[in-house]
Amino acid sequence: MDMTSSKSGSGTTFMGVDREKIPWWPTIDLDMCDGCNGEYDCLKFCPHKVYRPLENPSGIEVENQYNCVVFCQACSKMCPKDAISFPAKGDILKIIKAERAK
Amino acid sequence: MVRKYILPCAGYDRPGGEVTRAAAERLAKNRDDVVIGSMGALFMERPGEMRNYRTSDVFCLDGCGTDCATELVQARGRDDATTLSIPEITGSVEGFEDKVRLAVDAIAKELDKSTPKTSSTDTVEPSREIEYIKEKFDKFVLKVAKGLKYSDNDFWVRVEGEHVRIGASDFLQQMTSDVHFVELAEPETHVDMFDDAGMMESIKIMVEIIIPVSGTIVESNVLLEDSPEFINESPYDKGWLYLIKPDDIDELELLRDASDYMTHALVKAQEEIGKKVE
Repeated sequence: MDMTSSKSGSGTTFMGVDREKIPWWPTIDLDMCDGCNGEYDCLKFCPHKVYRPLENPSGIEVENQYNCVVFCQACSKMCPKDAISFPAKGDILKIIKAERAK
Repeated sequence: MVRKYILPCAGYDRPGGEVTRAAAERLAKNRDDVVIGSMGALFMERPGEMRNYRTSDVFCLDGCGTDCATELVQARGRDDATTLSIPEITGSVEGFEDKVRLAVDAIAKELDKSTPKTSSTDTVEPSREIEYIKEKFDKFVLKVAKGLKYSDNDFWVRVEGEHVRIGASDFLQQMTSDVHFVELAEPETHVDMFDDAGMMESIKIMVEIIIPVSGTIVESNVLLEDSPEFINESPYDKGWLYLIKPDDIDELELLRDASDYMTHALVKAQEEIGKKVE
């Protein structure tokens, strides 16, 4: 369960903007990610089912991008390989402001 | 108890300056409601100094006609300070010790008659009257403080003069459950809207503190280090997280007002609990 925004997924809004219009979710560098040798720390950490495990080779991918809580990047801090990155917040905020102005 | 911030003038090498300093030190030694201010620290706006300065009644001890203590206090935004001209008070006697004694008596009189002039920003014993919107969900009661702004990440913002105070909403603290550890960013850190700065941790989860407004952290609620339970017990008051000098107060227009946030929080609460609100 996530606190920073509990309702998630497609069909929801953030700051009054449709979640699908906000391109905020993690990007995985698969050259660095080794799936924590099958432990998948990010998958275990994130309560929003954003991630899906990969096998052979062990890794992770984003399965439900709109489940990701806008501006939350706690999973990237859990990653021992520093393989998770997020967009620049300023860019996302610009998009949100532009959508709100419509 | 309202703390008293006594600011002796900077004229250390002048007779008047010596008397103001000696009088301030004597008062601070004998009273636990007095802190001695530093002209240098106040000039540099050091965070610890500014905390004392903002949360106390201010008394300027001017040692000469320059009135440097009073001038600096005015420059630092206080127009409610009590000013004492030490040469005027002590002019009738000659010896240093006699002057100090007269000064101490005069200052003590001012300290004791002072009715609290500071607003209730005393971070040690806040005593604000908070009005709430209350709604039931499941077996819980959700409280949203009126008059604040709220982010969709469940943090509140209260405008306090030129600053804003932020904290976790009641909904966020309830969902987090008992917070047992809080890590806060240092004062003077600059944050952009929706940056994370610090975190709080409960048995259930670690929650990033997502800052709802751009600005510079002026003060962190250091009491939370020893008493993280304030976040659960008093989310809108003693459990505050940061005092921030905002870059642009208009940014708050992006946030929700209390009734709007209550609607938002109830939807999330339903999701969390998977039950209909009564």
